[in-house]
Amino acid sequence: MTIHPEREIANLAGADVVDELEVAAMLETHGITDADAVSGYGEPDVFALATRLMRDRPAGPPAPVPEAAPWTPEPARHALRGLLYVLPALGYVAVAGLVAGRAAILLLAGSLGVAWAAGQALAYLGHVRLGRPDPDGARELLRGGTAFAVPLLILLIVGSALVFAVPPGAVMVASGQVVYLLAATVPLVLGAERLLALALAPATVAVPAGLIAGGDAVRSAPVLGAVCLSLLATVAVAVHVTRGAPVTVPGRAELTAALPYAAYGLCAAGLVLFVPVSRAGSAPAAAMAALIPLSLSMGLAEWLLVRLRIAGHRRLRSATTLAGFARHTRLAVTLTVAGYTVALAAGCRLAALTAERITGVTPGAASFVALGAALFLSLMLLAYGYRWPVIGACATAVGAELALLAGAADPETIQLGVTGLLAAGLFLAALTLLGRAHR
Amino acid sequence: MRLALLTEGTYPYAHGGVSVWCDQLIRALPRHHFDVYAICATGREESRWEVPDWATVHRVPLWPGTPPRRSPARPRPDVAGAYHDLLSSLVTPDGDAGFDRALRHLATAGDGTRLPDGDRPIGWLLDAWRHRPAGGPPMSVCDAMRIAEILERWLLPLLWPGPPADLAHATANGLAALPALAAKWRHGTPMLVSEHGVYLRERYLCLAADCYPWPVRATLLRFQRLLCTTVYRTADLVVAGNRYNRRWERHLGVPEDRLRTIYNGVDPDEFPAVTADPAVPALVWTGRFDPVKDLETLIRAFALVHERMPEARLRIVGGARDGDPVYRQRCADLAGELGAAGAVEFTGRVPAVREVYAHASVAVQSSVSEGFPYALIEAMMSGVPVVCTGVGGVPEAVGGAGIVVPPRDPDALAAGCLRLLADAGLRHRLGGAGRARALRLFTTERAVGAYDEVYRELTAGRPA
Repeated sequence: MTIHPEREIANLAGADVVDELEVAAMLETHGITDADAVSGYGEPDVFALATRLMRDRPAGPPAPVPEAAPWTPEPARHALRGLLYVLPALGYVAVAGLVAGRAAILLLAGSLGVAWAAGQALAYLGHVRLGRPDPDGARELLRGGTAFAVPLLILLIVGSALVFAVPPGAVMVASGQVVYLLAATVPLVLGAERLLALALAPATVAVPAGLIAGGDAVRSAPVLGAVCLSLLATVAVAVHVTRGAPVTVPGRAELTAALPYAAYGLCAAGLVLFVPVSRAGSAPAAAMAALIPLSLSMGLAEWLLVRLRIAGHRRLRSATTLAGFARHTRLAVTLTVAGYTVALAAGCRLAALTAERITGVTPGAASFVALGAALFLSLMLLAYGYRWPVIGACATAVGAELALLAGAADPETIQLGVTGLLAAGLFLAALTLLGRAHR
Repeated sequence: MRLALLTEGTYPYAHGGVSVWCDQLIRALPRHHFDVYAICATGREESRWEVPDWATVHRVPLWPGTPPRRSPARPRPDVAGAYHDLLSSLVTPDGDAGFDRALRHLATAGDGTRLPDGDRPIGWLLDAWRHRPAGGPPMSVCDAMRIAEILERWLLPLLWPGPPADLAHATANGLAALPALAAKWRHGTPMLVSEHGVYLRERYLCLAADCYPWPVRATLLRFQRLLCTTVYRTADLVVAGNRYNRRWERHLGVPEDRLRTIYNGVDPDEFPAVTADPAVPALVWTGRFDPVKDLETLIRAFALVHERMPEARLRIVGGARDGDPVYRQRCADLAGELGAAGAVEFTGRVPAVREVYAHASVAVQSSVSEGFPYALIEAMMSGVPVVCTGVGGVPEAVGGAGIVVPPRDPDALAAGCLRLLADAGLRHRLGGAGRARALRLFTTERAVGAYDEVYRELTAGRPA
């Protein structure tokens, strides 16, 4: 039978074999039999030959090879996304005249809440399919999901408007808001941020121009027209990036899976809208200046979360004790939260100073910083798969705020206290849960 | 008799030798009831076999889409202790006794036993690895997580509550034998293990080095090794599909008196004797495209045959679905490079293999590793003379009724083929001898009968 040179079979017992039986298995697939072991190598059988090769091999098992993380941080993209979260605010400036009275404001807030919920659910399902990876499926889902949710939500708005006698102007604004939020979700999930930015260009140019012109210019027909154009362009972008995909409604299982994200979207909307809605009519718009840095900071939040996950991925592969892993993770979580909070606080301060210079009113910022920190921590825990505890905490916070409001306390104070407590609780939860290796 | 027949990744969800054999066994023994415990991946696999009325298939999915529902209760301290010992035994040298004891404790801990999860097993693995004397690269938290996750799944069949059976028959060592171990330890159910290949040997070859970091691979293979040796020590009888495999079983501790060989068989009516020679000299190869079949050597050998005998043809029979399509393309390219493309035909999967043998002068096998291939005994049963490499159980299957050559040696393989193609007398003599040998030793009836006898022996003296 074939006798292999000693050097060649010695190579079979490479550095990465785990024991002598693995060497024996490899010898056999190279056609070496017990007879060969006796005649060629002076060993009684293949097992004895394998044991000798294992003993004589020059090197031990190899050092681990670093693995690349499945995510990459893209600062420019996240900055653009932050901007895209802010720009729609311009639209509200143009349409503010159409929304007057308590019922109209509540309708607007309510429709924003449900649109946010639907958007979160759609985005989650889209990302799940993208991650499989099933990009065609993601496009199909986003197209079908949007086509399914938009008419449903508009029907809901019109129905509520009829019941509560809301004027048609506010109904149109609420509907436009729903259309925008859901349509914009599509390019935001599919990574077409630039197209969305392009769609928002008309409003981005027209509204500031109207503001600069002063007076009622910002509510004039041309500016309003530009805002409508941006809305239509956003719908066109959503249709364009999902072109060719069939319109199918998400199945029951997927809808159930998305439920937590819808619930989270609703809670987050409740927390964000609490101060603006409770202050509606009683405070100047400048008091809401901090909403701009808060929206912008969501881009920063996404970028920080990607970085945190990459660092965690690396740490899982370098730490050799659970205690060491937990220590490093807690430090990373603390630094990330601190970094975000400091950046948001600086942004809010800047917004407050600007608002003061323009309007002479100094808006408070602390409650928005506490809110931002709570939202950031909830997104962090969601990203790591902790859903219901986060939703439970956020829902409790919304409930507490509404209850305290009935006690006639000042909305900013309530917001600061409740979201501050929420942020502290979520921070402790993040330190504990993210320090675990196993999820 | 009520039999628990345990499979992993084969019957009834896959084609292949072991599935063919399971189907033969069940169909031939309608007087028994078979509970087939099929260990599978997701539990959504499609059945590829029609299961007769006297068999019931129970799926044992290791990776169902939704994670197994956890009972709220914490695992009992003794279960946690046993699992800790089991994990430590994988990392410490001479962990055999500890592994055996821990596995047995887990199997007999009672219904609804739940293994500890979360960070505890991960920490145990990391601690044990840090204190191992053998050194080696460090185990990372991620490595330990992967190991813990896989082992939790692999141990599911051990904790599976099986229905009462008179005999547990594992169709392979490894995970398929876990329910048999559990039944043996819980109820004293007799335990039979059949091995067509050598499960552990295949694990070493399949758990490829590039899939896992070294500490993960070393620990998982250690688990399989300790499991296989525990099974060999505990089984009432181990049946090898050929004498060659017995070397591994003996080496890993199966005593000679608990080791038997039962050869696979085929139905003589399905493979009638071929009488006439084909119009042109035709070599055939049947099987699935896999590098262990070493089709490169076959094609190189055929190129040599083709030079001497330009009218000779080679038919390669096997579906691209039944193996590695990249490898198939490489083989086709090689035939082209050697200038034999026109004489080599890739037929794909054919509905009736008997038709292939009816038009064959010689059947060729070129594998570097084999158990006891059906393709070979089918050719012998058809009376087609064989030339094959002397690996695994092949020499004992051929037993002089064919030509056996060394593996990875195109010259020797070509010489064997040319000898047969040139000599009609030798061809007919060896073909006839092959058929006679197959009729005597390798019939379904004989194989199934031997198993039925083993079932009776192992259950004798037990209350029905």
